[in-house]
Amino acid sequence: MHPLIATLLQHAPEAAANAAQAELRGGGEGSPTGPAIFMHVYHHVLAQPLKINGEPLVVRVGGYELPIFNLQIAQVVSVILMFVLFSWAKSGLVAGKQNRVQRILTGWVLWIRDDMARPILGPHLSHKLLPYFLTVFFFLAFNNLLGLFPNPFHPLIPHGDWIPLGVTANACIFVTAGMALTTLLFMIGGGMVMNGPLKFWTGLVPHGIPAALWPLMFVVELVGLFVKPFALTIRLFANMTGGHLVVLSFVGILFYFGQASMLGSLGYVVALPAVAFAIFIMIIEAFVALLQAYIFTLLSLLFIGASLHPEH
Amino acid sequence: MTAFLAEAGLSFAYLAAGLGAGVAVIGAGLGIGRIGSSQAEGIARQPEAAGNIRGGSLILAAMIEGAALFAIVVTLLLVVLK
Repeated sequence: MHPLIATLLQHAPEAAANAAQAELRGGGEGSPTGPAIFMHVYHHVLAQPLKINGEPLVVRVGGYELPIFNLQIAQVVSVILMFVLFSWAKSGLVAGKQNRVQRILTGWVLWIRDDMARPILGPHLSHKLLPYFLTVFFFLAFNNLLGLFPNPFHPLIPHGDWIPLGVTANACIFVTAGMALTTLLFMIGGGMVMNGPLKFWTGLVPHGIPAALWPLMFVVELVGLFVKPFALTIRLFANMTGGHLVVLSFVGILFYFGQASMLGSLGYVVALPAVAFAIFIMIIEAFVALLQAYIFTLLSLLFIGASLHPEH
Repeated sequence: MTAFLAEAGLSFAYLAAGLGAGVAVIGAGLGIGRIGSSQAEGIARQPEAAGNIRGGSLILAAMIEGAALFAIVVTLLLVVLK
């Protein structure tokens, strides 16, 4: 891989040096460019241990060392954003006078309550559980939108210190798996609280099927219970990673055609369409960021609603 | 010889990944296209139910997209794990 592309892809000087070394070692043909690009996208742009003066930041809990990644910072930033923005909107609501942004935020919350939670969960239950779903929606939405910020400062900072912007926490499969795990726990725990611990598990199987088929159906439904959050995990992860990969590919085309072996000046010809396409994909990504937050919340609502009120 | 075979195997893995991603997208495109046409038809027939129809079709599209993304993640694994 061209060192320039490496720099572009991972924003880290040492990885660029690695790529250059691999080329020197005669990587050339058959060098695993595909995995390299993926790993660079994944480990360096998206998840990177936080460093202060070149030392990785580590939290020690018991005998374990937990490195702090930029992902955690991005998530904390989105939680703080949630607190600040919505207490601001609420203060306007209490004072009886809201400006345009506060009205948008309030309307957003009302939309989730009236168009999503209430028709699925019913008036009583939706009133009780609304804070959880609001948190899920806005956490995902803010995280996805924060991920659209580029991180232009990194190469300028000495020792690889890092500024916590320009990271998509939801493009890390562990974060989305954590979000889906809360949905799974809510499904199982809420269902067991609402329907009784044993009744929930037997209630997974629809009524009126022959006794001989019952064990088979139970296994099928049990697998279905765990497949649902798994699908949530993969959907969010793949959507957020996919958009970034496409943008990187378009920008990477530029550097690929800018190589000396490709007639050099070809990069100038490719530049305009490549950047235009990258901007187009970024606009689509902004839409997808909100759409995926909506779909995750809506599907969580449907799954949790179905396990709280099983069909009889 | 073995080096050549390993090289060929790697090339075939890349080929399989590319073909797999393309085929998965064909399926998802057909499915989402059908949902879109039915949605437009439904809204044209009954404009007052537009909100419900839009929500339902969005969920179904997300389901299809999820299945397609499973396939694409598998192809990505083919490339990443060689």
